[in-house]
Amino acid sequence: MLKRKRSLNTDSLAALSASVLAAIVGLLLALVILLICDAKNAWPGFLTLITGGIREGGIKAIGDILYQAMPIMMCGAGLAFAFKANVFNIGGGGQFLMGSFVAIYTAIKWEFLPGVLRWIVPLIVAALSGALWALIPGLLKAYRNVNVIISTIMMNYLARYLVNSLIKASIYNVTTGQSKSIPAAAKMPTLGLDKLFPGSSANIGIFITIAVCIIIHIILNKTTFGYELKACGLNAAACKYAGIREKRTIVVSIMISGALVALGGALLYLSGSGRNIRVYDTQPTEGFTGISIAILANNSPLGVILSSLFISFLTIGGQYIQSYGFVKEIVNIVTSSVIYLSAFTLLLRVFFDSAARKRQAKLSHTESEKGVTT
Amino acid sequence: MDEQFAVEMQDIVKTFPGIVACDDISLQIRKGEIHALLGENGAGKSTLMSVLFGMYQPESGTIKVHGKPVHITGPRDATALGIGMVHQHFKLVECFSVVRNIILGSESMKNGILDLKTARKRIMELSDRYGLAVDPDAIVSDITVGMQQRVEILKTLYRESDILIFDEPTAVLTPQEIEELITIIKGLAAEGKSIVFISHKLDEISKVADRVTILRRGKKVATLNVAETTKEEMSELMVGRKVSFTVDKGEQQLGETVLDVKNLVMRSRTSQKNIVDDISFSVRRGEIVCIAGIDGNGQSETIYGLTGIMPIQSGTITLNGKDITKADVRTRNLSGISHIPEDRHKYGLILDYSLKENLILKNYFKPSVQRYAFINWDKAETYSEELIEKYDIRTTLGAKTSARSMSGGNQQKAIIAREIEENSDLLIAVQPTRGLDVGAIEFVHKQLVAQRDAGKAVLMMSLELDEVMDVSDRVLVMFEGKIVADIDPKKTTIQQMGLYMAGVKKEEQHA
Ligand SMILES: Nc1ncnc2c1ncn2[C@@H]1O[C@H](COP(=O)(O)OP(=O)(O)OP(=O)(O)O)[C@@H](O)[C@H]1O
Ligand SMILES: [Mg+2]
Repeated sequence: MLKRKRSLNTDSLAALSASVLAAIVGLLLALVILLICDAKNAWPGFLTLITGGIREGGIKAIGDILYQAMPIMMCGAGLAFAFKANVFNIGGGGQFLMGSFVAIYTAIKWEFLPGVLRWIVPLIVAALSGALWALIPGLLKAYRNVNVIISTIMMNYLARYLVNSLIKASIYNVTTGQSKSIPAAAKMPTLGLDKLFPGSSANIGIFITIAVCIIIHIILNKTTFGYELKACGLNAAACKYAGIREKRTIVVSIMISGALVALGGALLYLSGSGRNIRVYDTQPTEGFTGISIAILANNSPLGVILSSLFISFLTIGGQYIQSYGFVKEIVNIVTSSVIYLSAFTLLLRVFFDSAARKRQAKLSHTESEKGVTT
Repeated sequence: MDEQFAVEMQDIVKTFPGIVACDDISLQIRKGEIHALLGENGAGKSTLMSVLFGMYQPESGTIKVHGKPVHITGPRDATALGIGMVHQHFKLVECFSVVRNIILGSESMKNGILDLKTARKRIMELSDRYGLAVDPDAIVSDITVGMQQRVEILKTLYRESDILIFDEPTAVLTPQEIEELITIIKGLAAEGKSIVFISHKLDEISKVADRVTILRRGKKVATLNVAETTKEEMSELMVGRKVSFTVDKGEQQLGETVLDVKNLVMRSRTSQKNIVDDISFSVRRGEIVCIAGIDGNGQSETIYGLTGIMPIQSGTITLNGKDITKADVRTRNLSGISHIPEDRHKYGLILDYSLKENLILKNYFKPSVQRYAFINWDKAETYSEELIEKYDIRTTLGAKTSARSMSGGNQQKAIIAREIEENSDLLIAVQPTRGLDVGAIEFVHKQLVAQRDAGKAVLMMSLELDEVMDVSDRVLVMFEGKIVADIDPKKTTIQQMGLYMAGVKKEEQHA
């Protein structure tokens, strides 16, 4: 028993060190970009980046980091869940938008709800909407074998234009060109985090998100459903053989994934920080950042907590670099290259690892199946 | 009196976490000889050869090739030294033609353009010279397993290898293809190539090899001249005890019918042909029924149809009087089917799961390891340890060994353990002993007979005629999707069976 625990730890340690290495590579690239743009200010700018702006922003920056981490953490957890089942859900953007819209709509329109239900119900309804939205590509995959990557990307566009017209038809604020703001009554409680981190928008959502990550971790590692889900991700044919209903597993996994991503959108807008949905053509970035976060965490829900905090930390740090004369666009390039490069480095590593492992396995276990030739 | 060897491996030590896979092994391969490597599952044969081919770096030991000390850091070094390896799991690009597969990685260019013509010519020369019939322009996914293996051999010859390693080359071949391969290998040796031949089949070794080196648990036991030894001696050296080659079976106690199949028809996805063409049969308690035939006559599909992995066209399947024709796989399993699948990597195991996780693949949802939808991993571990003990599954890290790192034979034992422990009324065992050593084969046969004696029904499928004749109580021969004979192996000779299998002879009542 003791031995088992130890080996588990060394496994996750190896994964963690890979992620840390990937992050360092990403940071080095950021430094290079800063040096190219403005060599003189590059170093102080870099220091700000890697201290998360806490030097400049102090306690507020910490609150901002928590607030920024919340939606992307939820997205990362949702996407990691689907990735474990080998369902490549790229539809985070669309699911996030659906969740955001439904949350704002119910927060504004369902005034009849009493007390805390004013924000709890919108969260739940938003999650349901994300699940339903993801149900479509799930069914297409399970029963028509439509590639999930393609169908979810298409669903992203559908969601964007659907949400745009729904906002215009119901909760449009003509002067700002955005959705209306949620009423104060539907705002999520801050649980004193506004006092702890004055000036930031941190609220109960971060706790909800961390709790969800832990629950997802338990589902994946301790339950029969998690066992089935990972098995389907690793070897669908063996699942069929074992009588695991892989179609159902695929559909359920992408629905849960969609629900969590949508919940991420709902948390962001129910924070009541003054942000509203803009009616325009691009996808919300959280869906894609969520992919990087999941990859950086090696699809581990607990790892998602760390990787999303790391990325939020960089984003906030990046905002403070502007004081060194770097324009906003440069700052965006820097932070996004760290995010994507770290994810990319890790992806490469995973890729090389599995290629090497397959090669080795083929050599050391030669007797194997016949009839795999088709 | 210094004989020059093609390969000399001296005191090779290679360890993996938890095990010394090669423990101070020395091996000498003479020029132009066929040297067999024999040993139990997990004895370290594949590992030793992977060291020679540069896939693994040994902790200590030296390697000499043609008398010169060498340092092999990867397959590229090995290739440069004239060492070629034919892996049993072929490494071909399915959508490429045979020629393109062979030249892949050592393409010759003419004015910067791939010179296929010259390559093709050379390949055809090699193919003629060694009797390796291949169709150079066929796409790999369209050719038979036997031809794919010949392509792999040509690949090594094209790179001018003169030391060839065959890792269990015959495990995937049909008896006919095995004969062809043996002729080819002998031809290669006659041309002066030195050959290492890994196999569990003692008959083959007696037929093909000059010398044999026997490994046991990572150690070298002996190197013998094949002409001066016997099957019994080899197996005793390898397992450390006497192995019985005959199957002891008690009197048959036939009970009621467990499986009843009526007018089963199955169609291939691509053509309108019936792969399984209106067959009916039944299996009763207390008997081992074997489906025999030349590979590709609908045997595998029949099994997939019975277990629910492939859809059937028409017919009915009844298990213990219950119609399961339309039932899903899980329902069939729970109604009493255990299934040792033909393809252990595709269906039998989740390679990236640990042994423990694989051993509960069929019962993770049952109360023995599950409660309130949670898996009790401690119970799963205890259960796995029992099975590891009972079925002698050799692992490096116990229940938590990853299935991928286990030797092929031990992977098979794990599947057998899992399926037999299900204690189902019907045990379907497809090629149950493929890749197993003689000791393990004896063990598996005993288990099958024990199931029969315990009043279970056993449906086996095997391409090994000896196994078919020894183990089963009744043999159903399939030819072109039909059952052409239902025979008692005690009253039939192997020759007669061969005629049925080739479709020359048919039994009237089944036609
Ligand atoms: N990559 C690996 N990692 C860890 N252990 C390994 C690895 N490859 C092999 N082993 C272990 O080393 C031992 C020798 O394995 P090897 O594959 O050489 O056996 P083998 O003689 O080829 O057996 P078989 O006849 O079953 O194929 C086994 O116990 C196996 O579990
Ligand atoms: Mg082997």
